[in-house]
Amino acid sequence: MASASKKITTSGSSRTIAARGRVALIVILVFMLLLCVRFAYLMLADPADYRTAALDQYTSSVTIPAKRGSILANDGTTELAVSATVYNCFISPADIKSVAEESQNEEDITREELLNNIADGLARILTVEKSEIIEKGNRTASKYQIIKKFLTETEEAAVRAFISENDYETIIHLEETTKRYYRYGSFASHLLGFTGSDNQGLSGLELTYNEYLAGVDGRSIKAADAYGNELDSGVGSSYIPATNGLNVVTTVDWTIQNTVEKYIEQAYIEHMPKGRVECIVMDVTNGELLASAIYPSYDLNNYNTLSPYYQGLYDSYIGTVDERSKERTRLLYEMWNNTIATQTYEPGSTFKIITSAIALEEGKISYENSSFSCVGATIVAGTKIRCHKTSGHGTQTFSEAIVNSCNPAFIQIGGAIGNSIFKKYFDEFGYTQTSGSDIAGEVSSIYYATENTQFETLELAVYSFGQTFKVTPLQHLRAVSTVANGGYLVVPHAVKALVDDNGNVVKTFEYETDRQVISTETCDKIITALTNSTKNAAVSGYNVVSKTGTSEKRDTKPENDYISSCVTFAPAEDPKIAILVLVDDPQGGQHFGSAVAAPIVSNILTEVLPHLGIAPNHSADTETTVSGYVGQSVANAKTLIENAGLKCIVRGEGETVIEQLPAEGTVISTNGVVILYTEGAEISANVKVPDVRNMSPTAAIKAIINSNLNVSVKGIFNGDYTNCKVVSQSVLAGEYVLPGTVIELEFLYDEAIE
Amino acid sequence: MASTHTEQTAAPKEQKPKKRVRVNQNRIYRLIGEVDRPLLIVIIALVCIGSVMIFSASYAVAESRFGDSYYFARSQVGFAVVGILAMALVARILDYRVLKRFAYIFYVIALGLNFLVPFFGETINGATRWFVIFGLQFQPSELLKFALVLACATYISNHYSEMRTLKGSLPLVAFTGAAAAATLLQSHLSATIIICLLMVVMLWLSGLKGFYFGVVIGAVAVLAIFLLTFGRGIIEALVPQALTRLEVWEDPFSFMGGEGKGWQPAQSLYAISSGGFWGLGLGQSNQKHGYLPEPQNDYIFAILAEELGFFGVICVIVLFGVLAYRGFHVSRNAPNRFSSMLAMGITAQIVIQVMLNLAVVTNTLPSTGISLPFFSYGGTSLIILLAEMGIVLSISRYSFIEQG
Repeated sequence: MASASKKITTSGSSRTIAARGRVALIVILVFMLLLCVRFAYLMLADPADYRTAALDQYTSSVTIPAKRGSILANDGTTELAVSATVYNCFISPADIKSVAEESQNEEDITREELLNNIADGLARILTVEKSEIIEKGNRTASKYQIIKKFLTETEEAAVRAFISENDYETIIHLEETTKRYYRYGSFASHLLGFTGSDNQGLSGLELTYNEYLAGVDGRSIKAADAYGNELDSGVGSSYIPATNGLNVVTTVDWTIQNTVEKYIEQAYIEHMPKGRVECIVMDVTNGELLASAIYPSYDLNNYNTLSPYYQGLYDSYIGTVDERSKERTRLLYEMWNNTIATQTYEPGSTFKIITSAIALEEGKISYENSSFSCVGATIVAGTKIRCHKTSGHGTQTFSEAIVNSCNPAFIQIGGAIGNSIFKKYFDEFGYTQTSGSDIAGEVSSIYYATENTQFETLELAVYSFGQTFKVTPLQHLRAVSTVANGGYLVVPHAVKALVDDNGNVVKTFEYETDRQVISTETCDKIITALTNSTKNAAVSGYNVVSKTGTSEKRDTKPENDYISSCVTFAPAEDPKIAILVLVDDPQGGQHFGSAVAAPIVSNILTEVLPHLGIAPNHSADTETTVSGYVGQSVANAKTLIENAGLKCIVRGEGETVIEQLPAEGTVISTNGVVILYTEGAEISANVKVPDVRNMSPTAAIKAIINSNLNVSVKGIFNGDYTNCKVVSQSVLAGEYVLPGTVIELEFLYDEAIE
Repeated sequence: MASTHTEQTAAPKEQKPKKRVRVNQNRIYRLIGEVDRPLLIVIIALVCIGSVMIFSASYAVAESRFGDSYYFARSQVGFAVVGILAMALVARILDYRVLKRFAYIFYVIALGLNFLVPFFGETINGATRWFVIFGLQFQPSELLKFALVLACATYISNHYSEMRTLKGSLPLVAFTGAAAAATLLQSHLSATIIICLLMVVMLWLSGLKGFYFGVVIGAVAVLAIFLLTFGRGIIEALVPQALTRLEVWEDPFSFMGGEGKGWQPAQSLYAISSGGFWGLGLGQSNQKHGYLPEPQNDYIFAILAEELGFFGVICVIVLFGVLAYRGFHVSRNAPNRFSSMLAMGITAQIVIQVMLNLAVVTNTLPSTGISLPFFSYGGTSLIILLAEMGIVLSISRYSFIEQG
């Protein structure tokens, strides 16, 4: 038995159960090994990347929007543009479907009915078209259909209430986002620019500094089960916080910008130009733009709405729906265009500063000894070029020639310089390249030069007085500012630093300031020649350096379109700022730069110079402040008033002053009048304002004072009454006012220069 | 060479470890000591891991469906305890010779139940494969697999000398064919496949000439390659569902929408690949949260792979490998042909099911409803499985006794 059974197991035959079993076992183990290989292939190699597909399936990624940095004025605290947290409202059509399907048994509500209820509610709360919501709600594959962006606080609260009342938590959602707010609406609109609805900078500084302002969006990745419930297992979940954008500190001085905007708007209304009024105020020592303004401006908070001026153009445009839509887009782009850097113009006579600088620097003329003759016109290469003074300026020194802004004299100076030197300096003053500023979309200048990079004779002649070539206002101000700062070419820029939310400076922007183009001596000569040369641009109490220009727009010929401009440096002793004002084609009767642009400069600088802490170096002492006399005896008060040099009028018979006009603290002229009232005197607006327009200063002031009114004078430089007249009075003639009321008179010098 | 169909006792083996003989003499340790201890340990290890995985895989789906995250785990652990007791009882008390006596009757009953189930059975998920007795679901095909192994072992041991020829094997082929037909009538393809494979294994063990296996395997392989390469049209004409199944198998990801035929295999691949080497950690599967449907059933191994990683997968496969080896070992040392055939048959039944399941889970084979022994949820199946393992253990015990 034992031997027999031993034979079963050991008798080498492949037929025994054990032998067959061994083969079966080996086959089994081989298959198991193959399965292990299959698992290794899937789990370790994962060539089809099922792992990522699985991860995508159960994780959802939510972007945490980074807060966009603020744009600050140059004090580092005044906020010009800020981002605030607001909410977008979206619906999940897929969940509308699933909720309706789940509730079918109990409430028997169909998807259409549910969607209709939701659309009704949201259309009412958000003032959105109901049909639009229905249409979005029918995209049942989607879980994300934006109904409205940037909800107001009221809308947000109403949506939240609507959700909780109806248990729409899975259907209607609010997502956090940020919206850009511009604190001062149209303030510096062209310079600041705006962002799109996705918080991307689209124009202006918002565009240039977008990479710093934008920050980096964070992401929250959450794992959820197949029914959308969050998994706390945490596998695949991650949270990357958003990095907020940096705050941009501009060089814009809030007060100066406001002053500039006030006066260019006023000038726009006064001169009704076909084009715009533009103004740049720059710190000549480092190129910081203290103000940069264009009128008409637009509201940054509603940048897609045409401002009234452009709306007017659009309304009067006749065309098909398509054409009108195109026109509207064109007008929007035109409205947004920061033409200070993106549009060129012919600088005209203000360029004579540059021509003079080249000639003096190269010794081609002598400040003291050169003389220039003008007979009203000159012929260059067969072309007759007129001077604005057709009778001619006669023989002039250099400083007379530049103050007269005599074209024939500058043609002579240009000729003395010669083609190649002129071209060399044209390059060095930065006219052949963009200014390198941080203003978006800066364009190149347009000028003519032959292949050997020289100017032809005729070109040289007209270039000498700033005609037939075009540069941007920014380029031009940069070039002429070299004269103001001792000869250095600075880079105009509007941003100086980046700061984080704690106010720490993260980065400062450094620009080249040591590129000297002309010597300080040359600068001094030009400054001397031009100091207070334009009375309409002059500022009482200060010495300023001005050059006006009236350029012909050659590309709109045969229409006689002009650009009136004025460049001023102040204070003359050691210029800190340069200002350029240009009015594109004024229609108010005047077109000379000295009559149109210069008074704007004067108005602006009168406020800006004290703001900058620059003290007036000579006082005209033409004004005094009225003291308080109420309660004093009439005799005593009368003596005090007359001792102060003022005229005193007493009304009534009483002994004690019970009322006075003008009130205590009013500033009046030193030859003004104070009216004292005693018991029984009647105070009434019984003084008729005289008409003093077009009168000389002496006559006008006399007429006002004689009417027992006071006067305040604008536009008179250092008490110089010659050759000027009243252009406006603050109270219209014929109106009745209280005695002693201060009437503000504005004067304009009649300067017969371009 | 034994020529009788009576019981043959195996010869004592000198190479048996002395330790076991010594334990054998100690009557106190008899129950534990006398069975094949590695096999016992492997079984218990698999049942434990299986119970843990049932809980881990099912708690999310149990929570959402029944509001009770222990719904499946509690019942499965209960069945596991009952199953282990059954296994111990069978291993300790059962005399395998009793089985041989009732083998044919048992087979006929099991076959009968399987033919009846399409008419009287309970329909679950569109398939009529269950009887419900005292609230317990019972799948007669589970019983049939065991009954078939038992009947084959009986027949082969009784007609061992005739089995070498094709003619001698035909009766065996006939009555296994009846089992295949019974499952086919239930549209229970996976059971049919397992029964056919079991038939092949039993015939192989019976000593049928290798030539026939070569012919059959060759024919099946050629047919399969032909159909896969050129026979799309033929498949479509004969069994349209099969073509869909084939297409789903080739790219389950394009069948994730609509009826979602590819959803389960695709999600299984996602789960497995997500595991990496060390896995996401026990309980950390994401796929079980509604992505992989019925994670406690046929696809439980995908969740295991996701949570325990390649390392866990290898551990479990090694455990099954050891189970196969110990089953073979028991069979080799079994006291007679019947017990040797029975031990190997039961082992083969379990291992075939394991391999088919793993192949389906990894989308190596088209999806069929094959559960993973010791892991997949199912009470009666687990009890039957453990009772079968009890028989193998019992056989191992007898061999030891007669060694002594």
